Amino acid sequence: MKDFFPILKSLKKQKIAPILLTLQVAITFMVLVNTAYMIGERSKKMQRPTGLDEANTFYIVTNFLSEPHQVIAEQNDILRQIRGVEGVVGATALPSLSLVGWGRYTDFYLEPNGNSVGFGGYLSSDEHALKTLDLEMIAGEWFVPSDILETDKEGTFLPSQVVVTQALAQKIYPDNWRDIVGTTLYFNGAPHHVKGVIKTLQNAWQFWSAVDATVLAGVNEAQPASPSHIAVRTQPGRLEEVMNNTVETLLKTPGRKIEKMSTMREVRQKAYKEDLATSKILTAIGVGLAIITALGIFGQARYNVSRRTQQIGTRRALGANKWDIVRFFMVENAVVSSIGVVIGLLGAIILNNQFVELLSINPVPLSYLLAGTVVIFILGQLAVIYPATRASRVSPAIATRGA
Amino acid sequence: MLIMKNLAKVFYADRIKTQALHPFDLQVEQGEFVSIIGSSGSGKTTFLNIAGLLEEHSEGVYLLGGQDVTTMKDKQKSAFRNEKIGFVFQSFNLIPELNLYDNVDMPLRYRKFTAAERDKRIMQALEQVGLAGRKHHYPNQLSGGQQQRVAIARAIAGSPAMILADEPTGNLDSKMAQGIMTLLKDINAQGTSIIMVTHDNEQAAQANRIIQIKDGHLSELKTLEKAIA
Repeated sequence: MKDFFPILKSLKKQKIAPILLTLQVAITFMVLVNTAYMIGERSKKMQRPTGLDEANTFYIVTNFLSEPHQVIAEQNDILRQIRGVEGVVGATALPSLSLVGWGRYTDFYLEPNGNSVGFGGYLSSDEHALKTLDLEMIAGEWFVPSDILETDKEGTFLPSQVVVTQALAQKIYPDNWRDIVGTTLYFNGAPHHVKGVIKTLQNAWQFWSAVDATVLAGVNEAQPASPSHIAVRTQPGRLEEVMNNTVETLLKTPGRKIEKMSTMREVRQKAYKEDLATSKILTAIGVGLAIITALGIFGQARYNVSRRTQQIGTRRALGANKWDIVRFFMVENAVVSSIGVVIGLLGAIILNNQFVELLSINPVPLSYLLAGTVVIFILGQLAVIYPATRASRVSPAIATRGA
Repeated sequence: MLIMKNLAKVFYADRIKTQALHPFDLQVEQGEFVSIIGSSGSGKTTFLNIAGLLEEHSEGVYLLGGQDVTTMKDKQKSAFRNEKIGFVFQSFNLIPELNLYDNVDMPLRYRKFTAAERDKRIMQALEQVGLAGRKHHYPNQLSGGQQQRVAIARAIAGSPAMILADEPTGNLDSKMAQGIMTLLKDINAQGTSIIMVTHDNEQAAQANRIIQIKDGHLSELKTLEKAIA
């Protein structure tokens, strides 16, 4: 503290250079906090669970070889073949799947001609989906085989048994989401009986606000015009092996083609490709700006050291030891950084308010502002260590001999 | 107060040995005013730097205030320098961004004085050099002579046993120079030893003793005429 007030007075006298550096620190703080927050938000978004055992799940798309009226039977046969592969935990047909980017969505009604009570994604499958997708039932009951309808048309128009995600149940029954069990949901003109509630099952679109609001209908659907989409869950650590064996097994049937096969990790990577790229760009901007600021502080400190060589020598001659000199430059930087951070805090809040309005994101929480303060402070101190150490090596004899 | 025995300084530049100061003995008692004269490059500044603990000596023993400074570490040496020695430089070496008060305060901040003690010392020192009324002024608002007075106030504020003055009037006109000499003599009269390096024989003659340095050899002169001769 013994250097604090003289440094403050000295900075006040110097004006331009400290003001410019302070502004640089402020701008860096402002941008850094907002980019860090946006990266954090994206990261949280990318880490949302689909509800599936992603590490051990893949999906496979294969063609139908039989006549249109036999596709259901053929699909069941394909599923039997896959379930017979060593290491398969479960397999189920799903016309759409979490994060794949294609699927169906619908509005929900509690009365046939009533108002919409919510909207969400539509998935359909059979009783094997619970085990295959690793779903967690949290209310009501799961499908029994007799619940499952089979159709070679679009199943969404059939009155069916359904389970819904907790997110959808909460949207429809905000006071007590469990009340949805046993009710009838109307969508696509048909009544659907809600058997139970599952904890999580994301639908096809990660960017959609209703990605967690999903209805899973007990419909085994196979349309002749579309290939069969099948999700497969394997025993832990056997994903690659099972994928290879599944392909080998299916291709034993003449004419069978594997149109597509992808792990859920690949599906996730693809779904969040843009978010990941944006995060990388934001990270690069943040890191780049932090480096530029650190270099700015470093350069300013070095310039100060070379400009003040004789002054440093004089201070040494008059009794400052090496640590006093290091501390002088560290405190000087801390003062500049602190003023910069205070200005930056105000700027960050103003900038964030604009982002909140323009990009519909939440306000930056206090923790980010505090973390930003610490980061900028440490960054400044790290940048000034080398010049400050160099300054401490200035010989006190410079005071008499000149720089 | 200051005892140097068989003290010498050798520089090595590109493995070439330069004997800046040949071995010499010197003793300065408390309250003495000693002038160091010699031509440029003779070793005056080297001597002053060694005496002020700004440079290491190569050989010999240096006792200051009864303490051997040879083995002192940087931290100890800095504190010792701060407490025992006041410096007056040819170019004043004031901090331009600090006002007179803060300039005088600077070495005191390296000591564990209370704020009140520092304030008392600063004001006393500024009063002694006649600049107490201008304590909020900055160095660039003063004449050269006034700046040197501030430097002297800075040197005496810590009550050192010895002041080392390096050409203190070198950048001043004769009128201002005489004012500074009068001030230094006043300070010396109060018991502070002064060792002053100077080119000016008239000023050197105002000291109690005159040491001449010629090609790194120190010799004490009985009278100034010998030096001139």
